Amino acid sequence: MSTPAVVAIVGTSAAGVSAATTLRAEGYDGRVVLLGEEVVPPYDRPPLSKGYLAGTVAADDLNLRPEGFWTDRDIDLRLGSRVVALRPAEQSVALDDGSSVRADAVILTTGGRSRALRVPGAELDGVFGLRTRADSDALREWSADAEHAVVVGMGFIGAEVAATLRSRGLAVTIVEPLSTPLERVLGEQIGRVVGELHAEHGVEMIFGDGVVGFDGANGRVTEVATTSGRRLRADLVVVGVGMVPDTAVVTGTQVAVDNGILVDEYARTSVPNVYAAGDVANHAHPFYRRRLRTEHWTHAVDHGAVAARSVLGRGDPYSTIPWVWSDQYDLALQYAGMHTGWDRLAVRGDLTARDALAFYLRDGVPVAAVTLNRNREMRRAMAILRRGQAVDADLLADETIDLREFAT
Amino acid sequence: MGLINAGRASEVGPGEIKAFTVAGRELAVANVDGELYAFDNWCTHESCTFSDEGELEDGKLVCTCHFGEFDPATGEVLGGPPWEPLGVYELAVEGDDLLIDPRIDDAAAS
Ligand SMILES: Cc1cc2nc3c(=O)[nH]c(=O)nc-3n(C[C@H](O)[C@H](O)[C@H](O)COP(=O)(O)OP(=O)(O)OC[C@H]3O[C@@H](n4cnc5c(N)ncnc54)[C@H](O)[C@@H]3O)c2cc1C
Ligand code: FES
Repeated sequence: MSTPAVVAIVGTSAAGVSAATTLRAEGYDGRVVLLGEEVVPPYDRPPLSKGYLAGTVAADDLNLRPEGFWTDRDIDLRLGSRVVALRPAEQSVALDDGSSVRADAVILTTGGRSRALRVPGAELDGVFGLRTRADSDALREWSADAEHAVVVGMGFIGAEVAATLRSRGLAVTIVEPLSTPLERVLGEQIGRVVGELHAEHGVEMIFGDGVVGFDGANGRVTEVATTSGRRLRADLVVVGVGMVPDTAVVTGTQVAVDNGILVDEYARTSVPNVYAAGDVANHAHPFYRRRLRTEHWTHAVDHGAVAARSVLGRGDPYSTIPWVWSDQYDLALQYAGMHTGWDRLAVRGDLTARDALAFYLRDGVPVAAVTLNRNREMRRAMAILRRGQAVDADLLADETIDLREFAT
Repeated sequence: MGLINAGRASEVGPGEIKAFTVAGRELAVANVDGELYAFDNWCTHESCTFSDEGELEDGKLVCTCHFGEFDPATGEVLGGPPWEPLGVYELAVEGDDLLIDPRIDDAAAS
């Protein structure tokens, strides 16, 4: 395989930046063009629901790289450039301004957009999604004059936004269709612990209820209507019901799409010289022997690097254990692994004190782990997940036994 | 300023990271297989401290908050969210005295 003369990367976020920097770190000396539709320099999304929204993280601290980085590495960063078409046969990509860029290889890192609620009133002012820096700016500005916030959905982003808005002094109500916070990821037992934390901070949580519409006055939201007939006062609404992978760029091509862009374990799409990585990629995962579409920061970075190395013909199969962090009030939570149901939870420490490491086991095999204010134990827990062998759950829950004993 | 006495070297056991205040600066000292290294205690990503959240893993310094990885000898970023290198400091051990120069050691930084 010959090395491409020009690599174009679509998307200037975690995965795209990682792909570009990896190409250079691997010694690639061809052209690297990094194309992104957003006009602001590459930035970090996690603080958008946390410190940046709270106002404690400044815009400069959001940058993924320092200012001179791109010219130093000879990376042609083009902001405000939306790629509207991919032309693999012609080895080029078309931009929204009518121009095109040569691309012998393309890495797609287009991520996703926040999922909108298709209910009446969703277009009212004061109803926000949260994915971009512009979203977070608009939300922070609006929240300065707001008193009653309603957050729809209590996944990671919903829970974090609720915590941040609460710390900014707003009254916060969360409406979540399931019966506990973060239930899909964390399960009921751990989800309840997160719920107690929010209750202690005065957040009102309504479970088992959905939003059917928003009412407003003068174009601004004033009320949220729920399935069970509740009417909640709101001058600010944040919709946190997940994201939709942004695959618009491959429309009309042979690149296969199914819940994201399909890639193999080397981040290769179904079309030669076209790769995809990060939140947009639905990737074959050798360890889990199934496809995954992971929406975590570290995944985006690692996967972008895998795609870059594949472009250079030096790819390794991507098979890392998914891992995510979430900060809410003074709780540092981390979750690793993947479960499709479990039959036993082995807890080390004290869940109610929010000082614990818990393993989710299925047929005796630890398949996922969560830490509450125990960041330092996560790496060792992940070594146990990676081993993938059955262990004695009672011993695993015994804090007097060093975690490393279960990883060998 | 040169090397100043910062405490006792035996306070930092193998695999441990401890905080020391030297000339008003909060530094961390790590013991990697018997070798001691001094660096800023605050991770260059967000506000975590190595004395609370740091781990040593195969000679790497890991900030377990978001898995930032550094070389404890040079401060170079090896992985994860941080991009700014960590300030590292010259360190010497005399008897059990831990001596640290509280000026950033630019020569060691790569
Ligand atoms: C509010 C928030 C908080 C989060 N908190 C955490 C957290 O605490 N921990 C964690 O692990 N993860 C967190 N995440 C998830 C993490 O930020 C994502 O996994 C990561 O950003 C994915 O990176 P990506 O590069 O794949 O895609 P994205 O970050 O979605 O970036 C894709 C980029 O591509 C651009 N683009 C799309 N189409 C085109 C086109 N046709 N032409 C040009 N450009 C295009 C988009 O404008 C965008 O800039 C959070 C996400 C959000 C939104
Ligand atoms: S604070 Fe150290 S990696 Fe984030």
